[in-house]
Amino acid sequence: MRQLSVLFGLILCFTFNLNAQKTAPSPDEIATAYLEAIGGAEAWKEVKSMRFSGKANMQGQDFPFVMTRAEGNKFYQEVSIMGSKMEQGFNGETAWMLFPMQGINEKTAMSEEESKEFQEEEFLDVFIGYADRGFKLEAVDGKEIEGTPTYGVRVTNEGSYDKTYYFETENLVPIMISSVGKSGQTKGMTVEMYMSDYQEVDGLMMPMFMDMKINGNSFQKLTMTKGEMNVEIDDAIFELK
Amino acid sequence: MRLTLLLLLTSFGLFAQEDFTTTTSLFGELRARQIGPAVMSGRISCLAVHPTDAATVYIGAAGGGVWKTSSAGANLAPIFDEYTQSIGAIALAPSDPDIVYVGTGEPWPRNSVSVGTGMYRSVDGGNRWESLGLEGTERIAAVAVHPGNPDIVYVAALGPLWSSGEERGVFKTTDGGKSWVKVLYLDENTGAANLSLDPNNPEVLYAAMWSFRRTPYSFDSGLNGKSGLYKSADGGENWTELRNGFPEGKLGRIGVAIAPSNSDTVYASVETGNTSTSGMYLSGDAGATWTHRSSALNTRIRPFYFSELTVDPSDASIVAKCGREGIISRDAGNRWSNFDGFVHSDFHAIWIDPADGKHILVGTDGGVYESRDRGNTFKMWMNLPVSQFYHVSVDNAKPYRVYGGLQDNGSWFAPNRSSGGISNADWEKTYGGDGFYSFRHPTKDNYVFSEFQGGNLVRYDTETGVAKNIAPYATADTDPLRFNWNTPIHLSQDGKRTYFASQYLFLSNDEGDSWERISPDLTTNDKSKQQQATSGGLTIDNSTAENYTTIYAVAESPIDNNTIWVGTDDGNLQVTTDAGKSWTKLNDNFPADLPKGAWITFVEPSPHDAGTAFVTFDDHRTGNMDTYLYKTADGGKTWTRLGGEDLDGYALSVRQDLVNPNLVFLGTEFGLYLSLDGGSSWAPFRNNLPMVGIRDMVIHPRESDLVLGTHGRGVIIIDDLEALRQITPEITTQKIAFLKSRPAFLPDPSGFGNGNFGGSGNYVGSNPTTSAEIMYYAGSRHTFGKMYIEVYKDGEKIRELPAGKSKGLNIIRMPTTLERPKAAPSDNRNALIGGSQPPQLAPGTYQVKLVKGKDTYETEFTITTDPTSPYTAADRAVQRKAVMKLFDDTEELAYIYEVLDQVQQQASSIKQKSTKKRITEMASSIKDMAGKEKSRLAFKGGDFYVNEGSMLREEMGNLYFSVSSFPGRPSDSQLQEAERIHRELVAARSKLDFFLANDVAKLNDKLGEEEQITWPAKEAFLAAEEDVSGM
Repeated sequence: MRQLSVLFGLILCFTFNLNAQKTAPSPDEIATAYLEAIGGAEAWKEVKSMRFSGKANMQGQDFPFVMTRAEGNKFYQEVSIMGSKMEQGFNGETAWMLFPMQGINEKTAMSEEESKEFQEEEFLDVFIGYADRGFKLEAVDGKEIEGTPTYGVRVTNEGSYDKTYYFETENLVPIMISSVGKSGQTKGMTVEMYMSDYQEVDGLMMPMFMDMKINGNSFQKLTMTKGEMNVEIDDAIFELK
Repeated sequence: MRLTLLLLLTSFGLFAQEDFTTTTSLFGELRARQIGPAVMSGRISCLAVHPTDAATVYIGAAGGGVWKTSSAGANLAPIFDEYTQSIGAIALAPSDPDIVYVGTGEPWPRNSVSVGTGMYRSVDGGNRWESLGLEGTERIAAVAVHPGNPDIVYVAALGPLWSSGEERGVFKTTDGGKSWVKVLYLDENTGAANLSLDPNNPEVLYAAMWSFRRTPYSFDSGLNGKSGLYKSADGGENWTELRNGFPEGKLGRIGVAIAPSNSDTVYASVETGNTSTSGMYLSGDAGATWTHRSSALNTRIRPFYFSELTVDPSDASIVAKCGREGIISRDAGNRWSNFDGFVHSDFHAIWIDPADGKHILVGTDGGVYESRDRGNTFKMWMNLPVSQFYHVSVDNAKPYRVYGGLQDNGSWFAPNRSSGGISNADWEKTYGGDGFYSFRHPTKDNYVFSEFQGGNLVRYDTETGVAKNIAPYATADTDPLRFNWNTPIHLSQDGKRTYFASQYLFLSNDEGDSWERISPDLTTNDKSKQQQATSGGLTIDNSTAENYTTIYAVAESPIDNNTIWVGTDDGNLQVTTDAGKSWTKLNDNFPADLPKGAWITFVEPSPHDAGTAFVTFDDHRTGNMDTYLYKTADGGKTWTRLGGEDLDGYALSVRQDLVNPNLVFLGTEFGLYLSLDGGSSWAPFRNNLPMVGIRDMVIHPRESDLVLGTHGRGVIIIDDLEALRQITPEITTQKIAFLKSRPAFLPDPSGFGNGNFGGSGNYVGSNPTTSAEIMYYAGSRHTFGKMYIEVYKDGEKIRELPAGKSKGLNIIRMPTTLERPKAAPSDNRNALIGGSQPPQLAPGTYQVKLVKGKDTYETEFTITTDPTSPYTAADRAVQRKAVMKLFDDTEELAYIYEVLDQVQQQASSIKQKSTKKRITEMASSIKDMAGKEKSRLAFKGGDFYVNEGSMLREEMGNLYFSVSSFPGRPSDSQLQEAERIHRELVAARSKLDFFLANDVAKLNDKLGEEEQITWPAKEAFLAAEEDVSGM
């Protein structure tokens, strides 16, 4: 009897998928299902800060990092590069960098364009209360990504926020975000961030692996090995001075 | 019940197998490698430059897509790879130059020209594109955007070349391309060949209309006499033909350009069919009347190929014209001077800087050039790999070399890998003209066969650099020989038999010094289609490009050298199974769906079976763009059509894999297609492979690489077909299935300071990977839970790698190196760089664990050394031992330094905190001793450049680099130096141990347990991730 129910379950899933393929859910429906899948909007609103450690893989080499994010889109990260430390921070207004190996021996402000890119790394998931926060969702054509079909949702705001999220049709979590670089070497180029290894961190689902690509070429892979929510932070770490 | 479920699952497996379809996702992360060349570049059809920033240039290639630079050519990038690669015209909206319109389909309709698929637009400077329709126009000659409104655009659609068709003339949109209105149309044979919009009054337009037609054996410029120059003064609503001043009678192709600085001045190059009335015309009254200004050669030469004019935006009397040479006049078209003779011939685009008339860009059959002195001298942009290969071949050298001939750019070869990448200097030319087939003789290594158009075969000697013409001649028992533009040369695999074909097939057993004719005329020999001497229409154009009723494809079976297949341009397929004694024409066996007379572009005798062959037919020269691929398994008696809706573009080349007969490759005008089931189903391969015409391809038998000759993007290689060979219908029923990978050769280091400082602007093609590869097929995309790879050697974990998450083929590349050693800090740059070089992994077998959620999958791979490398295994072992010893010493020193550092910091803290004098003194002394020892061991406080000291740390780093950068036996001096450094290190460790056991221990005795100085054990120190605070 149990096997029978499993079989029916399979058939039901299959039917649901078929239906899903026929009529794509609206962006709002996708957002709702997605937020449910990652732990619920209310739980996410309780998060004031988070810290992740892991390693960045570039051209076959690993670089350990620790990244701290907090409300106000604040950001701080340390990366160890051949024994030398690189630091980057953003206090909500100004992004800065400290990179002795490159001759940047004291915290130095980054360009306005770069600061803006940090500003657009929303601490609170853009889909949470998106309308009230000024974000607009628009359905765009889904496409096959890494062999699996997706729905496309373009997210924009009055400012320059413009990212297209591709949700795996099967699970309704984003597996790729496409955006155009606004500063530095990626300026004007489409950067694709592939996401996988969704795992629970303090009860909330997060992608713990990200692969950044331009024109299909991976230039950075991030593996998060440890994550914590609502860590205690000295706000000074985000500051330039 | 359980049984039922099991049965269901099993039958699903079987079902899936029968239901197998080749899909692009199955190719997963396999990526093609583009190697150029850019040294000779390729045909450019158009240019567009930002109106206020001359460093931002868009380049349209005849077959190689759209390229953009924002640095005046220092860096160039392709920005249109997902779309049709044949480009006709590019225009930026003057009022918003980030809005870019691209019309596809080259408008210079030579015999080998590609086709387009309509209009495209980008609103972000070329990053993203949308199709705007007009798909049926086949080729677009010009695009003009309203100066004030980026949504108002005029398009000159030349239309179909090989057939009549109504999708041609001048089109207009007022909504950015959402909808189009055909505002000027004459008939189904006459297209718009040029367009000029008055920037001072955008209601005024001039359009050159042209009647023309190409067939496989002729060209007709002028055709039905409808050509003419037209003007509209109301934004395209009404048009008037301008004729006052042009001679009576039929006209051909016209180029037209208005002077931006004076709307009354208009230039036109006019083809009349008469050398004294053809050439340059000038109107000083906005087109009302015209005066003949010049009939100099380049003002009237080959109008179908060169009718493009550019007026200096700041001087209405300066006008430049494209020709065999580029020419410029400073007196309104009366006298002309040639541009720099060192520029490649055949100009198709000229741009003159509105801010500086001396600054000129040109696009030719050999790429883009830039002048700063109004054309007296030009410098070439050496980083534009849009070369148009007709054919490609490989040799057996290590690394193997790639050969091929190119449109108007001769025949060349280069190694497929080279130190630092494949540079322009790596390419060597074997012959000039238009190049086609080119082969290295497999045993007579200094011979390379090359040719130029119309059957001019040479044997080039790479030792002497001299070529011998070896083409056969007509004899008493033959007709005059008819050689195709692209004459087939075929070399048997063993090199013993060389084939060459006109309408007859010739065989040479002495590398072309003598020939035996081994066939009768194998073509239809239709005399009515052998009139190339009168081809061209108004202007005779007899370049051998219209030679017809010729043999086009020749292939000897690799299984049976008596079986030879021959395909002709007029649709005959002939086969002999007795080395040419008798021939059988197979046309009567063709299925009804194959159009009669379709050009046979490629014959691929199966490498697995003498009776099996794949043949591509190309009927596009009648206007039929369908894909025709057929297979026979019985020597040509019966034929099956392969592919259908899943293919696009006329078929140009086909190959069957050498190992897996179900793996078949098809090249069409729109890129590469793969079939994993013997041709039943197909999917495009697009990973780093644009939608470019694939004219030829070859599989390297030793390396298993698929080498593609593309007509617009040079040579593109798919390295290592091993993975594709293993993707079978059976594999695709599995959740995770590892694929066998070839042993990875440890790469030999490329030394220090290789390469030169040529600055930006030089193309470098990429080398194949030297990483070890872990390959697996995954049945679904991994999204939830952990998935990663662990690599073990002899039970010890040496690496953790990110896993591929795709459904389909995943390829994980692991550098064949260890992690770099943990080293003490240093401010010495060389020592830092030296220490960052990880040593190579030991040869041997490595175990792989793929962790996916709760499941673990295991496989292994092998790392070895190239057996043909000059560095012996014994010498490598000595080197490896020395490197590993220095590696261990580096980590030992890092540990010593770390302990000293921690002791120093803690002692300093104790010194500050303690109130007891004895303790303060002891702590102070320990702090100083530790600091002093640190300074003795490693250099800190410099500038990473010229203020650098050298202590033990630096000596060790430099020696480590020296030894690890040479794969053979280290020098005795190096080994002795390693011994000395090791002795010093041992002494430093003893000193540290003594220091800890005495000075530090004594202080600790006086402190409470909580306050004591501590330091990590070495194992813990080495195991810890590099120091990143914050956790």
